[in-house]
Amino acid sequence: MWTLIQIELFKIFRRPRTYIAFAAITGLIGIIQFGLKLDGDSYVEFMMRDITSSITVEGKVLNGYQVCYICLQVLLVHVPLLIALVAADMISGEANMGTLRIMLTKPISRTKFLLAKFTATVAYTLMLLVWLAILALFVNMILFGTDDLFLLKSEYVVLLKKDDIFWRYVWAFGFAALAMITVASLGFLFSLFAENSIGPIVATMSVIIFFTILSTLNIPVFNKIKPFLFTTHMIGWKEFFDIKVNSNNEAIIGSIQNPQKIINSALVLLLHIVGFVGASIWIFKKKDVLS
Amino acid sequence: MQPIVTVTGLTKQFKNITAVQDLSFSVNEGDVYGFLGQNGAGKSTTIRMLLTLIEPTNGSIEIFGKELHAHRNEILSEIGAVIEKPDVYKYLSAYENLKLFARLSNVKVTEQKLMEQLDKVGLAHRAKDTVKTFSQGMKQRLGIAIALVHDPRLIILDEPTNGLDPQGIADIRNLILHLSRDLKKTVIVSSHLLSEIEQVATRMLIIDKGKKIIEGNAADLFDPAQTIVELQTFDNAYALQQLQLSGWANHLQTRRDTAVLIKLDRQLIPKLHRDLVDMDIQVLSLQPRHSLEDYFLQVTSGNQHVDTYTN
Repeated sequence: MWTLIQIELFKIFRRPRTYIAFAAITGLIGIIQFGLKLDGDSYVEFMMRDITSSITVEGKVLNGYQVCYICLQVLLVHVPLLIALVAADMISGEANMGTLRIMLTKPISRTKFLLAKFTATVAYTLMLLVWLAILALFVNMILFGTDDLFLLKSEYVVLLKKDDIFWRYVWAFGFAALAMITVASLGFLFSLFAENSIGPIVATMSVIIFFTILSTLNIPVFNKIKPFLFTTHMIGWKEFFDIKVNSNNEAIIGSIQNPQKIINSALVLLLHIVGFVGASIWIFKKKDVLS
Repeated sequence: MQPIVTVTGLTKQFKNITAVQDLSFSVNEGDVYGFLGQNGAGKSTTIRMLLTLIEPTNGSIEIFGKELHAHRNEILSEIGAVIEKPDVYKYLSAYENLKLFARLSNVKVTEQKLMEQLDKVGLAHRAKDTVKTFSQGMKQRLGIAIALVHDPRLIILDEPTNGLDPQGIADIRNLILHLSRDLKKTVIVSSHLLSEIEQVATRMLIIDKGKKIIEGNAADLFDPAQTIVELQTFDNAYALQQLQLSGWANHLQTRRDTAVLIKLDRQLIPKLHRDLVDMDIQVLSLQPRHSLEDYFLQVTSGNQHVDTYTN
């Protein structure tokens, strides 16, 4: 199994397409960093325009933690596309090249073959998120320094102390990894049904867009299905940045407002992953390879 | 001789299409087994079932005396295959492709061994080049190197000469003969071209529309009573007319612009020769055509190409 995973990783990282995602993330974060470095004060002024009359914020609002939060808000919506580029190509790409039939004439069980491919896809997804973390968190901490994190929610503001932030990002990236692996497993499932990767990539993105629209529409008839859509739970990473307050309305350092919500979202995502991968194995074991 | 492959009642149904129907055959150890049929006859489907790429609807396959699906990995570890086009990873080099597939076959080979393998198929000098720069023939040779890298007992080649130039076709033919005669391997080779198979096969199976037409030794498929001779004269129309008048009408088989085809028992050829001389027909050539090819065309869907001669 380890040999298979090594081979799959070798193949992933020898393909030029793999690096598009890394380049895209580098470029996008670079642009955000460039823009905020150049005109960050105006951005903060615009962000705080509605509350400056009632709240006085001291310190450096536009710090590394703040920029990282901005980056994640912007990028985690688009990273699924970059994940789908590779995940939805894992089987369909092999079928398109004609290598699937050669691979499957080797003495490897189909289940092991599929699990090795999925593991490699997960490894790629995690590497992409580590790269995102390096650029969005660590580089921004160096470029913009660190200070308290000031977040504007729809009905309230959250102020997280400088020393109470880093661990939240670690967990947020961990949760984002779970969300992205869900996307990867969906793309992986779709890749079984096509002999070129365009179809599965478009199908994966279409499902995400469709479900995201359903998740965000505030129409009562859709509210019953929202909890079952994985897209509803993909933004669960934001929950790590909501803090509990005591009876005096003082923030409790090291707390999370609604940890159960995070656990529930994580479970829903995990169930989706298990479901998508299980379905992939079931279908692939029966699949006639005609490519 | 011990059968190495035994196929019994193999059937594959794709929705409303029966690609292979109740097919039974056996391949003996050491055979070069020619698998013949026109395009769409069911050859590739059968070969893919032998390699577990397609699940049979019915029937059983035993290879090396073991049931294929129960001993899949054990059996596949002793099979090398090239299926239609020799597709490999175009963004990897020939050496990387060979190493990758050797590892998948659970073979630990040194760099020297891999280079020797590439040298055998004439690719050692291009070992480090990416496959996307290779010609079709080079890709085919790399595909064969991959099929042989784990020293398999049984080699399955599905349409191995597709897209190759005459030199490439001759190379494949020589390779099959080398594998069989020198290395004592069993080879199953499929093709829709009889001319390729007949030069290498010791046994043959002809299938048409998914059904077995005949299986046997190549020599046995030749029926001396079904010989077709090709007659070329200065005036074919005159020759035809004379042959009809002199009792050969029932033997006239097909109409061609440049020749007259006569179907007869091989023993009647001397008499035909004498009659032609007696009729003062100026013969340019009189030679038996390849009866096996005609047989192949007659027993497969190709028989529509043969027009029975009518005056």
